Amino acid sequence: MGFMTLFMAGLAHGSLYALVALGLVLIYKTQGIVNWAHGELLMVGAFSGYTAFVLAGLPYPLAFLVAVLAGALLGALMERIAFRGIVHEHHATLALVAIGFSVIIKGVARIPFGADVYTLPPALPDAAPLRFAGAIVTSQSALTIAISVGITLLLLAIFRYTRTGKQMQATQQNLNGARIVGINTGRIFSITWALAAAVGAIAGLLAGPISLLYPDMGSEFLLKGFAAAVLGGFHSVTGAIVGGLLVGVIEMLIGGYVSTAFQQVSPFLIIIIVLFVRPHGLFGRRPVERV
Amino acid sequence: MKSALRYPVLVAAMATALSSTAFAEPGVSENTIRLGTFGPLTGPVSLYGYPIINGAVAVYNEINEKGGIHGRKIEMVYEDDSCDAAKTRAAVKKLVYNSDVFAIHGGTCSSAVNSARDEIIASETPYMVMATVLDSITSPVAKNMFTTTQTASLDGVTMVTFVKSIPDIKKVVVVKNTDDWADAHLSTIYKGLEEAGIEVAADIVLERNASDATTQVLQSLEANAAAVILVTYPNETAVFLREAKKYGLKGPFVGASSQMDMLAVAERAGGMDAISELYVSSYLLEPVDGEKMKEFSALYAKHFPNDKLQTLSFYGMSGAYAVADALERAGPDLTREGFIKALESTSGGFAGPAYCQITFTPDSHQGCTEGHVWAVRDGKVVAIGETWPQQ
Repeated sequence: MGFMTLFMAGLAHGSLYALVALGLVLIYKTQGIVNWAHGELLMVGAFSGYTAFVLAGLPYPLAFLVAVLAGALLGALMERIAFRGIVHEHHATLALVAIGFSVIIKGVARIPFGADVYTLPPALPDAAPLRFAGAIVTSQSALTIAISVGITLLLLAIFRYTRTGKQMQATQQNLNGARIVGINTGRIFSITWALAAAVGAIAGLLAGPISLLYPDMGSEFLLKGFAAAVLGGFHSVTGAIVGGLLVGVIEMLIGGYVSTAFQQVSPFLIIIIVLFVRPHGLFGRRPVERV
Repeated sequence: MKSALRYPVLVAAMATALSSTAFAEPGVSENTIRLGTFGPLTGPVSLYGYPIINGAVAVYNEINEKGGIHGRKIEMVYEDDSCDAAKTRAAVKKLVYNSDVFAIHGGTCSSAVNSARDEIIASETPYMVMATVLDSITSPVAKNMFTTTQTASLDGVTMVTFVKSIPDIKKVVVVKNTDDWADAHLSTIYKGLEEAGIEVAADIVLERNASDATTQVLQSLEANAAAVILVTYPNETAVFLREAKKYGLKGPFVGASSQMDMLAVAERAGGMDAISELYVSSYLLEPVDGEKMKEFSALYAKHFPNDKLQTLSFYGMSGAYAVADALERAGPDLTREGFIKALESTSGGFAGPAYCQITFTPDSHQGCTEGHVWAVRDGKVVAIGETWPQQ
């Protein structure tokens, strides 16, 4: 079977999982919250893009911007309204609040978009598929991979070269220390959530043309993104990206060479195996507590 | 005074007793027959709930406008089951024991209704399927359960009959979802293929909510078969056809009746050319815009002018016509037993927009057994018959 075709399709899907995992990891690193509503941020991005691009007829770059802003705003609001005040509560409480947001966002989305399944046209509808080493790669897949790589590099640059990025890293490493040296950690929390949600919204916009748009579309991507984050390590940005790509490729190869019956469950098998063999993920480190 | 009162009171009491005897049947009054319905009115699958139920309600509303049945208007009681097994059982109980309905015409999700089957049988309330297709709901026969929807195994028969008629066919690929619905289709498809000596060159799983079908399409290409049988739901069909177009996999693709809304599949798959080689089993007469559907489209639009007309709008109508016909034939002294007897004697009954004629017997409560095939011709979805079209 066309190994390269499967591999490239896996990379394209894996790029989406990587973006979802990236959003999950950013929030987890900063506040220790697993955002179970992250799939809904993806969905909001997809529908915001659909509204701007299809319904309002805006050019694609502008629709892209609308989706990013919508996601970022919603993420920042969620953090400010709900999570900042309860961040020290038990994990179960935080998880329940996140699940609550997931239900609410889906419920609200069903009001205008619950009556049908929608399609988002590709960003470059007239571009011919690329043929690369025997593989057929659509323009949308190529764009997805390129944007994912671009976002990852941009985030790494922000962390390394900007003041805000360094403050984010400091907050992630030691919250109290960051406060003592005068970092406005509340602002950092909001920025982190906005950034994570914007990345999720971009994933939604990119997923739109290959998936279908409906209020529950985020669940599947959340699970795959979660598998990617577990595989890469919940504390590692690089791990999230590598984990996402691996999940995408493994999923395709298992479907192609083992059985299509295992394709959808392969990410969950990955989670189980990783938790047994390397509980902190490929790039994660066992947390060390100084006494 | 005491004796003067005695007779009128006695007469009144007797009249009340007589009248309550006359309408002792649950859900039946002098002026109304209360029918219960349930379906996904909230939740992720609610987009299938109202259009299907509204099709049946349009038929009942029209009957009411024309004076009802033996002077009684049909009154509907709605319950939401969200396509959830526990909620479906609760909805049935509520309709039977709280709302005191005469009969139930409802249920659009096979697994959920199947889980409530014992509840429905135990209640002895006459039940007509609204749109579920799982065979095990009405087979083996339960005294009070009927369907006019073409069941999954019969849908499989329509599909395999069509496949067998493709000239010189030797090998096929089967792409399938993995649930009771798909299994029921496959039970007759595999059998039919085996009888005809057609080899299944590849048997491929495409799970629900899959957003990619690259591996499935590549495996189909490798199998080099004469046709691809798609026992899949519309969204997965769209994903498969989109990838088929991308990798150059040619049809014919033979789909289940779940894909009857071919225009929606086309829209999701990226355009009409994605469905140009798709042949879909159908239990409706024609697509929404067909000549024979005009009467039923107008009926739906009259009672639900704000709804979008879609294939789903017609799913519940045949059951409503069967119920109304049996209510009529059961006579003015309506009882559940009489109603069930009337249903069981239905022969060649009017099925509205459905392709079949409805026939029930005491041994078979699956009223519609015929299906045919739809395909795209000159950019339009049309009915093309039960076998491969002769050139």
